[in-house]
Amino acid sequence: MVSNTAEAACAIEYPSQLFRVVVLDDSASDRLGMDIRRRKETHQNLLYTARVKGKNHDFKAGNLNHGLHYTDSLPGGGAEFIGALDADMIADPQWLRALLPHMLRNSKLALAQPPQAGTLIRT
Amino acid sequence: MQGLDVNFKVTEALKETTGSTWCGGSGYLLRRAAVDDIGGFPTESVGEDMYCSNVLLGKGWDAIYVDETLQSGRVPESYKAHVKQQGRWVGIPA
Repeated sequence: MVSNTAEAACAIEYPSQLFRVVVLDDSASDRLGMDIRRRKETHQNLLYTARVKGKNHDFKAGNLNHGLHYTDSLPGGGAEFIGALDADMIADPQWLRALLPHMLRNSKLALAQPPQAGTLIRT
Repeated sequence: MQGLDVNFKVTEALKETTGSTWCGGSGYLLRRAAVDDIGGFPTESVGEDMYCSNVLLGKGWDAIYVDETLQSGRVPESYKAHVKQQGRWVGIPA
């Protein structure tokens, strides 16, 4: 499921050299790690990290903060804008292109939030 | 039960007019400088998305709701999972 989400994120209509897709794996799954690393051959901007969780891991916020530290450590440092997709959220190809102009128009804008469309996928 | 249409098309749209958009947990775009300004993603509440957006708004940043379908995801497949999700949305850790 996460791999599908990652693939869709890589497939958005945006120059691949200008964005990264980072899988923040809070379950530290070896299988997912291997799968994402394999997909890197097709998507050079696809990355994977799994934090080491202590007793106070602060749930999703903790994982997101780990994501910030991780991208800060990459060549070029952290990005100016951060998009987030839940594990089961398939991004529309227009996702980033639709949200970014709002940020560019208003320098005081911190957050641009689209709705979530739900699809029930029976497995 | 899982139709978030009312939430987004009515409630969120209304809140947008008052400048009080809530972060919905997924699909959003954030300005890194704003996240740094509030000290990173706030960890005090398990409903970190709504809490984050409230902290941002409290510090004077703007937030908007963009009414375009840009992401689609799975909804909980059982009543129990639905209750667990709703509980998380009101601050009860899963």
